[in-house]
Amino acid sequence: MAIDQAVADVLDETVRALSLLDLNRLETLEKRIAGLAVSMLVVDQAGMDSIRARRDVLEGVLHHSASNLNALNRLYGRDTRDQWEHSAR
Amino acid sequence: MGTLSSLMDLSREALMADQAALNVTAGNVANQNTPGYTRQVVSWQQTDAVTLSGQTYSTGITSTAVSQRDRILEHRVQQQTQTQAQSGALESALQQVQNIFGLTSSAISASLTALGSATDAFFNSFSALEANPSDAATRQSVLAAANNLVSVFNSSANQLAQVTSGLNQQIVSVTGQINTLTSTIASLNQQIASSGLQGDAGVLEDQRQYAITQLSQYIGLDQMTTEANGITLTTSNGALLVSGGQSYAMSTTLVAGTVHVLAGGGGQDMTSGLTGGQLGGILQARDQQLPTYASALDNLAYGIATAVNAQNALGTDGNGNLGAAIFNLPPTAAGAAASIQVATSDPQAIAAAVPGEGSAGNSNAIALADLSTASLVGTQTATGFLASFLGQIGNDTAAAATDSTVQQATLTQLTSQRNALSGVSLDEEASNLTQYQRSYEAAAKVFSIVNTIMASALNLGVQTTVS
Repeated sequence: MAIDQAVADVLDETVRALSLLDLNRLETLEKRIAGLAVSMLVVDQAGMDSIRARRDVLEGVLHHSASNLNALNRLYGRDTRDQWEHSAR
Repeated sequence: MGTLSSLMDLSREALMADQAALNVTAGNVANQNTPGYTRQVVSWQQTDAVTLSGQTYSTGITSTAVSQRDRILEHRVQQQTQTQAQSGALESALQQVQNIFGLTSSAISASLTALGSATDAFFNSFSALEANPSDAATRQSVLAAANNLVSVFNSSANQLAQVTSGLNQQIVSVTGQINTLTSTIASLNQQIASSGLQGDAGVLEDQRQYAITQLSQYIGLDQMTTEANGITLTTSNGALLVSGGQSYAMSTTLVAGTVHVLAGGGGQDMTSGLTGGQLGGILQARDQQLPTYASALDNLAYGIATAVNAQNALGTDGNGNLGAAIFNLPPTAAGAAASIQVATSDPQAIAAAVPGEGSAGNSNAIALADLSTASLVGTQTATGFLASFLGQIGNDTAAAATDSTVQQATLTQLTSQRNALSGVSLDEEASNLTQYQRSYEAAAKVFSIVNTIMASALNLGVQTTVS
């Protein structure tokens, strides 16, 4: 597989794994992209556009994830849950 | 030391508590696919001990089922649902516009589109006329090219109008869905208020939450919790949808051929400020994006036609008369693309010569051909304006597609988090948060490495081959 396609695939899979917060998958993808980084990427305009579009999606999801994580961390420790107790019998 | 009887009571209490806990678990399993169901956890409580003659006796244990729900997480899921639905609806509409102009990700050159090639062919026909100004067939080719250009303008404008018409129909349909859901939510508000928290409020809460999440797909909402565990819902611009047990139906009306949305108790026109959900995306496409594209198309048609008419009027036609208009146009650019027509079927109406040059002259044909490089739409040439216009549609659609993908991924993530954090202990929650943080860091690392790879590739220059 050409390197540009491999990079594009990693980006697609990263977005999916980040959506599901699949840590194991993300750690595998991190290793895969680190391996690809040692190869020389020579790519035509269409290939570069394809990678850039996927990178933009990942950037957007990361942006929202960071904001969301910050909110979750703020909420942690403040038990914001509402509980409805009712008899289990 | 307790008596045999008290020991049996203790055992009975414990068995009943265990049975209740099993019921809760069974309920969770049975409802795992029930939309909106919130997992329950068992809460154990020791009953009050009794002290007799200085001895303390336990009286057993009881259990209760607890529905755990994080209102803030749920609210975030609802907001994200609204954002995602708006983004998806906008993308869908822009894809239709992109299709009208034959734009695809692999063929975005303006000259390859129907409008681009028709424009080029029209100006090229004048170039051909330069060489053979008296040739009837060449003159006929100019008219054929003009007719083709007009046909593409008319077709594009009509298809844009059809997209608008389709969006109007969607608004009516979505409004109906909204009314069904607000009615359901109002009814659930009423049931929750009358049942009280000790009744079946947990299940009713689930149903109401599910209905609100569904409603979020259709429209942006503001939500307030009121007394008796009620919820008041308004549109993003403040029109009341639900208050306690009362729902306020939205309606639609036609204003100058455009569907407007009426909402709130008084039926005010709320169209301009509605955002979020499918309705927000549809309105954004219909009221912001499409008019911009229609206006650009009109300006292009008007710019080309008025310049050609003016230049033709400066020349003499094949019969030796001053040139008349080649195109029929409205007085202003508005609606030009839809109504432009070729004014003549007579090939001799093309004014190829200038006055005094004779019918074999070609000076005005040269001037007509030179219009291809003149500023016809503002400061831009026709082909330059068309390239910008089509590029704008392509960029808008690509941006909408990217945004829609991002919003969908974010919604999936939020939903995963809400489900994972629902009904877990604070220790588990801390563990989950750590895992989320590490997931984010791993994805950020991927992003960083890709940036490095791209920077290296760019430094090498873009090549025409892929290794």
